[in-house]
Amino acid sequence: MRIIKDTNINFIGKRRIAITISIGLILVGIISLIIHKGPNYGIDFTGGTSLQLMFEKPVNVGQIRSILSGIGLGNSEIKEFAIGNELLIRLQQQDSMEDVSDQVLSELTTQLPDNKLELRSKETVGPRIGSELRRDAIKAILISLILILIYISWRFEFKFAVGAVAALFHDVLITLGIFSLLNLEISLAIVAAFLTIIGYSLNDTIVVFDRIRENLKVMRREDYTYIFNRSINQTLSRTLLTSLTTFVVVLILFFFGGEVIHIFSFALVVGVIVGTYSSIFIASPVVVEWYLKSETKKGKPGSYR
Amino acid sequence: MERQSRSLFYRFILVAALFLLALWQLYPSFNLSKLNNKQDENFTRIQEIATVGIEDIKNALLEENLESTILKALKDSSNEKEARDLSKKIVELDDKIFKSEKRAIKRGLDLQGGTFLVYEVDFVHYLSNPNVAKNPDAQLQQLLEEIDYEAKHRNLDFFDVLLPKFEEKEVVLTRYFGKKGESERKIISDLQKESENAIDRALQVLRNRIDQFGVSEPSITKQGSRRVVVELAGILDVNRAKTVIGKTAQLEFKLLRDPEYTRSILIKIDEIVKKRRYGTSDSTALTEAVAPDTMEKDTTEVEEKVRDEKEVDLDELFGTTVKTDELNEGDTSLSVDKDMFEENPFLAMLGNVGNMIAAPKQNMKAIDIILNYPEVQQIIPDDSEFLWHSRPERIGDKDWSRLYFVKKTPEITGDYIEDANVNVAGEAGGSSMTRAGEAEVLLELNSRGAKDFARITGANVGKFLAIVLDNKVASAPQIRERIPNGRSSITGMRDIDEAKDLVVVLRAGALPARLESIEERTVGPSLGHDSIQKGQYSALIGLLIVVVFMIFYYKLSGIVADFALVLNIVFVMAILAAAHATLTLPGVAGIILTIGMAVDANVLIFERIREEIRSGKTIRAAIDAGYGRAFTTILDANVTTFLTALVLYQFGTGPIQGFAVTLSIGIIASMFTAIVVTRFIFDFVTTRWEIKRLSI
Repeated sequence: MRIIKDTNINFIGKRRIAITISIGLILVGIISLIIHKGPNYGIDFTGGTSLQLMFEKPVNVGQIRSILSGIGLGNSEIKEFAIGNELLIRLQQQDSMEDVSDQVLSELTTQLPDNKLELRSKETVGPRIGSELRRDAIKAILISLILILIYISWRFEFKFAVGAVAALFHDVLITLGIFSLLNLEISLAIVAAFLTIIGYSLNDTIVVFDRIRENLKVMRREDYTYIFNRSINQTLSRTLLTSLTTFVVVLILFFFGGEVIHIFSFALVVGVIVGTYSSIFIASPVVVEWYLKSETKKGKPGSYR
Repeated sequence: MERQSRSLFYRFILVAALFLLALWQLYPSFNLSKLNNKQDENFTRIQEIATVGIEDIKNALLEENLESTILKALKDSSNEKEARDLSKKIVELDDKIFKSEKRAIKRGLDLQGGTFLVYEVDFVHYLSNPNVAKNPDAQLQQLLEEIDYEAKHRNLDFFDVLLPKFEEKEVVLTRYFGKKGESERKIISDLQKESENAIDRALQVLRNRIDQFGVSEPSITKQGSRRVVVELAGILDVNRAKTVIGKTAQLEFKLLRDPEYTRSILIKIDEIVKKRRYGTSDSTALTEAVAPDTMEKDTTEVEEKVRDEKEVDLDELFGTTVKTDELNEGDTSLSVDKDMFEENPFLAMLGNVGNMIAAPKQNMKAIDIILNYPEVQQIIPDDSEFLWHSRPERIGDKDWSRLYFVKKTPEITGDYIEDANVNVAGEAGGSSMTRAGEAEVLLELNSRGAKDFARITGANVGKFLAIVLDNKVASAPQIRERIPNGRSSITGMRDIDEAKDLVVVLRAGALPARLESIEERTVGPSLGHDSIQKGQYSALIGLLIVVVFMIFYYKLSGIVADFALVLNIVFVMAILAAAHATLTLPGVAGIILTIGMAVDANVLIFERIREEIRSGKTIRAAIDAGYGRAFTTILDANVTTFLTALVLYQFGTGPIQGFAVTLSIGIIASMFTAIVVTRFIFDFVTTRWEIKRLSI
């Protein structure tokens, strides 16, 4: 069975449109980031305490809030999970690491005597650890991009490396923008998801690049636009197939993986879509653009389009 | 042909051997859940015939006295034989489970429940300690605090900031550290070595403490230059564990100063406070503020109270010079003696409990601030200090905390402790100081300590000796006579658990430096359980969909790819078990992601073979070309993913590292299964039979 027969879509010809759309999306994300005053960092990066509680019966968020107000924690963030008897309470950053969570638990237990609660998880991160982790996260993403730049320059050409890294920046920026638009929290796990998206998107890009490299040797007479287009078309069925299987599993993880990795899987779902798009519409066009520029400088004919 | 079939044979042996090896590695993990189920059945049965809880059984297993524990708790003596058999079975099974656990895939804290704690060594406390610094004083304290602040906020090493800061403040290093004439570099490197040593000792102490707590496979590791990471799996009472771990447990015996001497110091402090109160701020405003009509008269005179109290606000005492964040937010009121407040503002904040000085609990912060005034620091002699009692006591309708004025240098320290035990009053061997039912901790000093103790108690009969734990006075009994045997006790425990925990920390020894908790992540067992179930469920559905899809799209070749996929999962799990790696929830996500990505290599190969067939090649040639051409692509694509996984591992802690590990193992395993295993199957089939059309 073949879903995709021999295609001959002019991807490269549509590069201007694709890049315009992408820049538009990135801009929307950046505007959202500016409005929200930066990413919505979770306690991993800001420091603080979060408690995940499960009650026997569904609870009223307002009631919980008034109980917390009673002990001076009225401005805590309270989030409900889909099931209704599970809550996430994010306590405001305290000056010290003094543990207020015990106070919260005992207060809730005494004020809600006929609704037993269970502590599902608790995270307390000191404020300094938070800023440290934030620095480490940015460092990790930059280091992986640099390593990729070096590896691809070695295996292919510097032009390809730049194309690939441009696509990766594109993926991370768009995912970050979507997270900001939906006001989702950036936690340590999300940074891990970003790195996975980088790995995945790169995987896709390399497959296309590999075919381009091969075709550049075989189709010496053809111009770059043709070769790049051919290569993308030849690998298209593989790109879509792999993306499909990966997309299906991350989607399942998103729906059935449980609340702990819910947002993590969401980042991957977005990442697979954006990553697949970018390896077709961003990575190769950047390389083509570069080839064409350097060719016209040398006075050779460029594209016939 | 001969050579080809031989190469086929070897490849078959390789794949089969690896597969068997993988199964052998995985067996304990499979077996473990079976054993655990059996053990759970035994536990249920035993709870039917005896009144014991799961915790009791586990403790008894640890202390190797299960049989006697059960027999003691037996409901009906006719079940005695069954109880004996059952306890024997449980012990045997427990042993098997222990052995299997060692070889099984380890579940991370987020899957089995547990707690992850990060502590930072308090260098300020450590370096201002008289064992490390010469004549530590307030100046050193302040200097160290500034260094600490700078090191933390600029993310520098503490010892790299140390010297520049000393130079900046024009303090000579040798004033506090090292010997005269030593080079600064040597002093710094000695200090660095010493503190590294201190951290290593701290790790050892923590290990001892946690061992006594009975947690299976605790992990205690050093992170960077000043951090300690403690991971406790499956622990139920995290708070209790935290108090045991975090307590410095510095035990010191300090002599109380004479009451008259103490009184004279307090009066001097009082004068300073008074001067500050009227000297620094507008005096008319103050007189207005405390004018009689604004005073809140305590109308409910408590029967025997000699004190006539009133409430004043903190601002009244300090003016507005005190930043509110130094104090308890919310309640800033003080309880003072109404008649004395004008004349003796400081003494008015104090009172008496028995014949000891004490203060209402709400005044403690303000008193601490006063005691830290530079002028007050000058009044207090260098060899003495004020210490609070460890716990306020309820008298009348107020909580009072005692304040002690003691000699700074301890007479004796906890280093000489030979043994510590819990005693409940009424049992033999207890001291007479406890009321019936109260718990106390009996201390036994070693011979050297006992000798010192005898000398000190002999020389100070009639005086009070404060037993100080972590700078808080646990009790301050009067020395009635010389104590020759080195025995003493700490009283005033809240309950028996507190006494037990104190024994644990005293036996394991004091931490050489204070630890500050900076990160805690706890996952309850039920959440871990849910995560495992949901992870398994997602993995199965994902696998099923991918498998069906591959067959649908690639027919028989799809089955070959599916076989490789399943084998891939088996290999990943086996490598995890063999490396005794930890499987975390993100790790499970990594495996699931691998399911989606692992077919990629086969998709690449199959698409290539299809292309080659379309271009008119024979089946054999198409297969050869397909694998050959696709190989470099697969390699390049996987190396880059592997690189990001590597960075992820470097960057992350715990769960995220688990993700990086499964992802990298998945990449390597998928390359093997997708290239070597499927190739073997294709080659086998095509040499065995004459294939006219490839089902792809």
